[in-house]
Amino acid sequence: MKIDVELKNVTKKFGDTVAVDNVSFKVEKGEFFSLLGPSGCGKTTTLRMIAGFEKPTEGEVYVGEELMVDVPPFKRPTNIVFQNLALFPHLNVYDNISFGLKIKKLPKGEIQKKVEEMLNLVRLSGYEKRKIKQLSGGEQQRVAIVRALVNEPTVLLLDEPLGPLDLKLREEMVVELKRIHREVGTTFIYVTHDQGEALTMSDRIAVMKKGRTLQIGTPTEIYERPKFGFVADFIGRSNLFEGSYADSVVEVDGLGRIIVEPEPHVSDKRSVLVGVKPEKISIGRTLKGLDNIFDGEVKETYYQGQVTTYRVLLENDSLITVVVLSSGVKEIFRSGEKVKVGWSKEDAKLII
Amino acid sequence: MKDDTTIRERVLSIFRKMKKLGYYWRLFPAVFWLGFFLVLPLSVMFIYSFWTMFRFELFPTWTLQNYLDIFVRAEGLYLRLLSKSIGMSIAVTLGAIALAYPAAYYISTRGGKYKYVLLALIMTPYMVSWVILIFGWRMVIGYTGLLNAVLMEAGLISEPMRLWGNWMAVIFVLIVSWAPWLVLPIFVSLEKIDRTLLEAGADLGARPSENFRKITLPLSMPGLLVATFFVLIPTFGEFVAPVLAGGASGAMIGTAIEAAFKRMHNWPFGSALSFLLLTIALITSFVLIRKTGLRTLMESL
Repeated sequence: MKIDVELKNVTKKFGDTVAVDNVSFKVEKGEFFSLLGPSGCGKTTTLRMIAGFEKPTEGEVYVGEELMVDVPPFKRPTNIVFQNLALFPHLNVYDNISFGLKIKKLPKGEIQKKVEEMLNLVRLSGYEKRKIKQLSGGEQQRVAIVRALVNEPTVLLLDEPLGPLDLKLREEMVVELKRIHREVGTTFIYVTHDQGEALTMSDRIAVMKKGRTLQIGTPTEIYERPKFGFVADFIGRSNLFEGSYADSVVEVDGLGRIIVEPEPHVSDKRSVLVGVKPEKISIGRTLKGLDNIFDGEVKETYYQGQVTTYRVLLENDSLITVVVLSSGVKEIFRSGEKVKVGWSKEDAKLII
Repeated sequence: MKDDTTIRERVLSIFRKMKKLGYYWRLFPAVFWLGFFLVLPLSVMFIYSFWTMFRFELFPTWTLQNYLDIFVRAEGLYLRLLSKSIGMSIAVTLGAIALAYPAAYYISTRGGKYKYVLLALIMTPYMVSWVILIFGWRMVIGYTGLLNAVLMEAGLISEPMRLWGNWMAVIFVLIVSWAPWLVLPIFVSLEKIDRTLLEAGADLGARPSENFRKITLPLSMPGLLVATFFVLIPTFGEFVAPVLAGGASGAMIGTAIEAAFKRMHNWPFGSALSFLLLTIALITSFVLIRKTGLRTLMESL
């Protein structure tokens, strides 16, 4: 498989603060690769180093198998969709999209053809003469994407482009982006703090924290088998329990024993984390047939239509989150009610 | 029934009109201010421009002769002066912008934390009187000035150059005195440009020079138009610089207006000249305002 982007031990320091700390990854041709993490984790800086707006303090950046470190942005085979879109306000849709092509001095007819194709791709045919101000948020979004894509970059970089949109539009754009990626087949590197977006669209995700990549893997790997407590918590808001492992059992202070699947690589008495996803936990007045059952008290109840979310206080004073599908539920527990929560050992993931 | 409603509607409409009048009433202070200090003297002048003056006395003759005189008097001298003034104003505007733009650009892009200190420094010439500034320049580029002395000493010229006392000297002093003023509006329009637009330009393949031509320059256009407005209009009627630095070839229409009032004692002719100048200034302002938008203009002031 051809590698389109590769970072080798890239570090970026701004003064004394380390924004990106020894990051390495490879992105294959045609892949949808996401950098996921909370704000300030270095994901945008990483993207800007690929685009050429920041120079790595250490390490190497390759695009299309060529070393990029000393190549200025205007010579790189990358194009970026900015967080604030950065559409040119003094130009209309056509002139925005054709900006890069005109600089490359392509023949007029060819430019026209390419812009038309691109507008078709994002279903904005006939918008050529519109001013940027006259477009809705979603339309501006799509113009920004094709303004970059029309240059046929080796890799398209997207810096949280869906951030300013409202929830419904964002969901539509996620579908749209995935479709565009499928149709053009270009390599995408997508920066986001929204785990939902990353899980839906990506072929692979790199979860970042404090400038480091914690885990790189497919959405299922990241979601089902998180290697760090942070990853488990950030993706899917897992409930985490700390304890010491011995023979398929984790002893948690003040709570008791959590039965997990046997893990032969873990030595006895080692301190570990157990992550349980909110949707894998059952809640009820009585529970049966589950490996792990604990007493708890409902502290808060959020009825959200499709699901109901509970915050339940356990005996070790930890609050856990439980999400229950609303369909088929007989009753909703109110704050202060004594309940039992439980989960099977398959759903208690050991994070080492 | 029907009459009732029509009456009610009429009363309501009168009431609405009165309310509207109330709103207009609030404009009174501004209207009074303008009326008393601007419209009143101008009206007197406007009336005079149709009168005749003979032996220091004004006669209300109601004639258009003063306006016709502008075109025919002294073999078209006044028309030539007028077009020369317009030409010189345009030259001053272009020259001042050419000086101010790089300064504003530098302060905006490289100023860093010293941005506002640099801006303040740019404005320091205003602590010195305009007349002193002109004489200062005279000491530099005048016949016996510094420049000539240095060049003579160096043996580059054998006799002093006549740089002072002509139309070029007028344009020069006007350019150097206007340029600092123009840094402000240009700076404001440059500051308003979102820096990521330039990153976007670079990302799409534009070199810094192309970025400037395709993004920075068009987006700083409002500032340039405001700058034009600042310089062009007042320079039309400029009167101090031609007198102090201009000599015979540096005369402008403002000089002629002064002469008409003071030396020729022909107030009506001076008034007619003034009104022609005012009309040109008004039309130019109107065009500039239409192009820039009143809001941009006022925000940059």
